[in-house]
Amino acid sequence: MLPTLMRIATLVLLSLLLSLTLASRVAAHEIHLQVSPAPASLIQLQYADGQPFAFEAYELYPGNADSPAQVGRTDAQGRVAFLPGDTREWRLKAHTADGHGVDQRFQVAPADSTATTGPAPGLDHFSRLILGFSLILGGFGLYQFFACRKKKTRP
Amino acid sequence: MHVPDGFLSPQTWIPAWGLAIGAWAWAARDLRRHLDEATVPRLAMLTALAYGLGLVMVPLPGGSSGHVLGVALLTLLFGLKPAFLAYSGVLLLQALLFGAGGITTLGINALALGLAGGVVALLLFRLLRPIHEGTAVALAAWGSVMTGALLLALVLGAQPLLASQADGSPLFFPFGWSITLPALLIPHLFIGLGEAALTLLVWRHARQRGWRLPSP
Repeated sequence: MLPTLMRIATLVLLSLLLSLTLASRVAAHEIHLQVSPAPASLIQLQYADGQPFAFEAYELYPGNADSPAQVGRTDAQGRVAFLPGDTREWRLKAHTADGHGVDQRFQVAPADSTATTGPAPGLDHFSRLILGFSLILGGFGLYQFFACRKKKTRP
Repeated sequence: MHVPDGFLSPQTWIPAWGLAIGAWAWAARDLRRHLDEATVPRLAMLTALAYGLGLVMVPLPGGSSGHVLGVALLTLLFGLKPAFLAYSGVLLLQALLFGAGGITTLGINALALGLAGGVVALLLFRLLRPIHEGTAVALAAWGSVMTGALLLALVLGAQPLLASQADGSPLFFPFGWSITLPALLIPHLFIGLGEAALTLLVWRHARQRGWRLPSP
């Protein structure tokens, strides 16, 4: 009787140990989600006409690193959010398969954690558009004034 | 379709700049022969139109977007050389003011879109004009867009082969030809239709107004 009880007790103990081992392995596949507020920087990407650079692939590199610290896709508004930490200088590569995108270095200001990307940040979109038209018309005007030959007139 | 800075390896953009400088010098050499007091304001107006149109992204089937160029329009109405120079100026302004395109990539953008696109437009127009002028204009415009798209797809898709890290990951544009060719050519089938319609519209109006065509 006693050996039978011992055998049963051993089996129960082994089953318990096996269950605990399997349970820890199963728990290793579980993903825990934790949400907490943190100071993030936001990059906004958009086409020249103001349309968002939405759902496109990007890579974010800290400093001169060869490997990206963050990869993913922009959101529906063409935004990328990241946590700069103590790193001030960053590089963003974002591209579509048809050749649109940016490869740009930028600084993250430590105090307000805002960064501005894009050319001619001093002018808004409309001003840059008008400046372009002015340069084209003015350039051709100067060519007309200084270099152009007179219109051929019929005799 | 303008390739931005950072997408092309120096092995690509430095020779392209060299070729483009040669092409710009060639185009500027006898510019005065092609332009007079009547044509310069017209060229200025349509160059400004190309500049504006190049900044307007039109949504396309499949979720992508694109823009028309205006290269065929400039080439057919003013000749290859003035059109190439004018469109190069457009690309420069779009890159400097809007970041649409780039400075290092200006050479390849100008050669692919402005020069090759213009050459194909001119060839198709001259080939098809005896058959039907309107069709010739439309196909010339469509062909110029497709030519630019094809060349840029080939250049972009070659980047993973031209420059990569020791582990094989690409240093510049990451997609190969199997992705770039359909990604550029399929949307530009539709963009080409828009380009053809716009070019034909302006072309007909210009002809009705008695604009003189450029000499071959």
